[in-house]
Amino acid sequence: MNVKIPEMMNRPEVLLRGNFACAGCGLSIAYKTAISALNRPIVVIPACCASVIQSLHPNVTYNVPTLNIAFAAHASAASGIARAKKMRGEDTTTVVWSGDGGTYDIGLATWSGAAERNENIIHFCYDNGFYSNTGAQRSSATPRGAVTTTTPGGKREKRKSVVRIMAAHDIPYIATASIGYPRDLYTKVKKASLIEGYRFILIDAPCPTGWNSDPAITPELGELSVKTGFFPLYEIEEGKLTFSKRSIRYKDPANRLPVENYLEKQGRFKSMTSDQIKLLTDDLQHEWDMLSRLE
Amino acid sequence: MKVIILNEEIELKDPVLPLGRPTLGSAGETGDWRTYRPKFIEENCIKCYKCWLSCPEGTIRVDAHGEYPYIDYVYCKGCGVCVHVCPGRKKQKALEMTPE
Amino acid sequence: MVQSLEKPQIKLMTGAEAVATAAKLSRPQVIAAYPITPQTKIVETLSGMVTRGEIDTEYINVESEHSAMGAVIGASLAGTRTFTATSSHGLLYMGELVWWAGMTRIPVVMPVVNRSLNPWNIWPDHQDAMAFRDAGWIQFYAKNNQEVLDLTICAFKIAEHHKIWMPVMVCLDGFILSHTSAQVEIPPQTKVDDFLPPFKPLAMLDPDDPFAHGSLTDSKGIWEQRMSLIDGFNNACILIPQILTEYTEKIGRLGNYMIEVTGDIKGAECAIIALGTMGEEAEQAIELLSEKNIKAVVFRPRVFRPFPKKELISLIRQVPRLLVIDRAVSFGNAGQLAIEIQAELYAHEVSVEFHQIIKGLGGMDVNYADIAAEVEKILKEE
Repeated sequence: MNVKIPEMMNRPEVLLRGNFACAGCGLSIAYKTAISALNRPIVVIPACCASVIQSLHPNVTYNVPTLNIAFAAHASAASGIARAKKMRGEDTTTVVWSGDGGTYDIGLATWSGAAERNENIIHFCYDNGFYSNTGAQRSSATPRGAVTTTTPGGKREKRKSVVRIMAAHDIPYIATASIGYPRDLYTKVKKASLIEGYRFILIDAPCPTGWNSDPAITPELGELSVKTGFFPLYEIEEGKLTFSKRSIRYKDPANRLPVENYLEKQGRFKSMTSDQIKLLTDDLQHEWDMLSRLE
Repeated sequence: MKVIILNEEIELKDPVLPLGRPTLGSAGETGDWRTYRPKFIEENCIKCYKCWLSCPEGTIRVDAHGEYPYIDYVYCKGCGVCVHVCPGRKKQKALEMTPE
Repeated sequence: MVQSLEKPQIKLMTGAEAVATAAKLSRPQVIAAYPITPQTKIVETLSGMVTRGEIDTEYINVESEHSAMGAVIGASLAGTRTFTATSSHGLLYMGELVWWAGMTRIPVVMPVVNRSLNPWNIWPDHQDAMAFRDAGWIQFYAKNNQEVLDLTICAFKIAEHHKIWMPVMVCLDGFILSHTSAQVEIPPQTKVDDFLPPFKPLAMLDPDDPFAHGSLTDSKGIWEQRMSLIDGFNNACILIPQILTEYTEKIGRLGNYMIEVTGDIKGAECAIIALGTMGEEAEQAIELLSEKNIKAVVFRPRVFRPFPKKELISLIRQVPRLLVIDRAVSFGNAGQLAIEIQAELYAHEVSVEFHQIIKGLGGMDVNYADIAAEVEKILKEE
């Protein structure tokens, strides 16, 4: 069940207006929705766009305590915070707020260690499928065919499934969410906040600057990625996967909108051939099949 | 803190720590970035608050549930997300982009 | 009963156990560490203490040194006293965050069990710690297990002093200290508690008073922080002897000097300058030399960062020649200690005969007879 709007309106403002974020920033929507759902959050931010949009010292846009830390140190620093606050007997929520570069790639070992120790942390990965703060280079979250500054001919490999790696750690809660459905995102965060241990929420966060898309359609891209089956929404609790209401009907490929509807709105997919689109469609179906095994 | 060494008084300076404080308009008045501005048309608003939910900047303001939203033009970057998500009343949007 | 608790205990223990004992007495609230030979015994001993409930701490068994430093940075900023320990490649792997802790002023205490870098080996030299002499950390080099224990306790007080507020490394030679047992006097907990009060954070991640730590900063902001770090080290030059004095008065032994002088400086023909256990070996060397009617003296800096310039120059002015022994090299130049002493000689227009040698790399044995022979060689050459 989705949260009601009045509850969301009563939450404190966590992202103050007038910051460095680009117009139409998907990360900003993800951050303000997710972090506002938490009780007394302390946020750890590794190198990523979230370390850029905070604006220049000594001013900062984040209205919650924030620790900036090196790229591959988010979950370790958060482990330290969570343990220290436990030792001090303080009621806080320790959060990792990392991009896909920090989660899929360089920070994989640090979160794997923290997840294995089942540290009391909520790890958010806002996923825009490339390194956005350094100017749009490929990451292992980049989908096949996408043009980035380090894959000028389009990426040749498929996107990594970080969620399935995370699921192998048997942590208590995993969810995917999209900025196209903020209430669903907020609801999942709220649910996660009531669980102890390592929790992971992957958020699809379109980036108009890097994706070469119209800033105004950022939320629409979030919706389209769900409706085309590009980004399925689900939760994994105690090892059991449940597709979310927004996604369940797209388990059947026949119900999905053509993936082209999603691709054509983004400059990064402009040069894709029909063969590449076929391969991409196969990638998506493979992920659905693998996820379905966890149901 | 002052210490005396060889009859010489030395002032020990406090450390400068890398602390930034939450600030409204941390990047200045970002309304300057706009080339188009969203205009609110009250009679078409159904108070669904989709614009408020999706505004990346938090510049769609609502004082209380049940009230009409309004726009903080000092910081609104003019991305147009609010206009795009607005369902409006009878297909007439409550927000539209107009040139600055 | 209370009386007997007040008395120090004397125990035979390794340097690694001395580190663990000092850590326990200092009551760190969060420890994060990753094992690496020859530091392993420290983490094993502390883990045992935690398991047996002898120490009230959150112990994080992290998956790498990088994460060990990440965790203590987070824990320190969340308002707790923190501790970790490493060695050699562990220190190098941790390197990014060693600098992070240095540049952003995290008052963590970290013993470094000095071990040579690759190829794979387990032998002592100072190359690992010297690689981080510029990282914004205070660096101590201990000569024996007793000093390891005493300096580790002092390190917390120094790191957490509000006019210093920076990380401290306590270096001890791998195997020579870490794995060799020696007699160590353990101060009673009550005295350590009196010397080292609970952690008092200068800034803490707190939802009631939010700040962003280490956020995007312009050149001016970085400049201010770096200048402040320079000030912090200047403060440390003044405050370290004061803190060592307090320790000596409350607990005993240690002495407040930045540089230990062994032997009679009057009439000394040569001063031997070396760090860590080589300094202690040099103490034996001067005894051997005195049997041959050669008068020598040992200056052993036990603080390398901040570099004890004033103390060093006032000592060097009193001797005609120096023999500086380094257990690390700045490749392409010379030993780090020698380079830095030469710079001070020039700056203070000190005229002294200067000799430098590199010894003990990769754990090559450095014994007192070798050192004595080097001094004899210098004197003969003239």
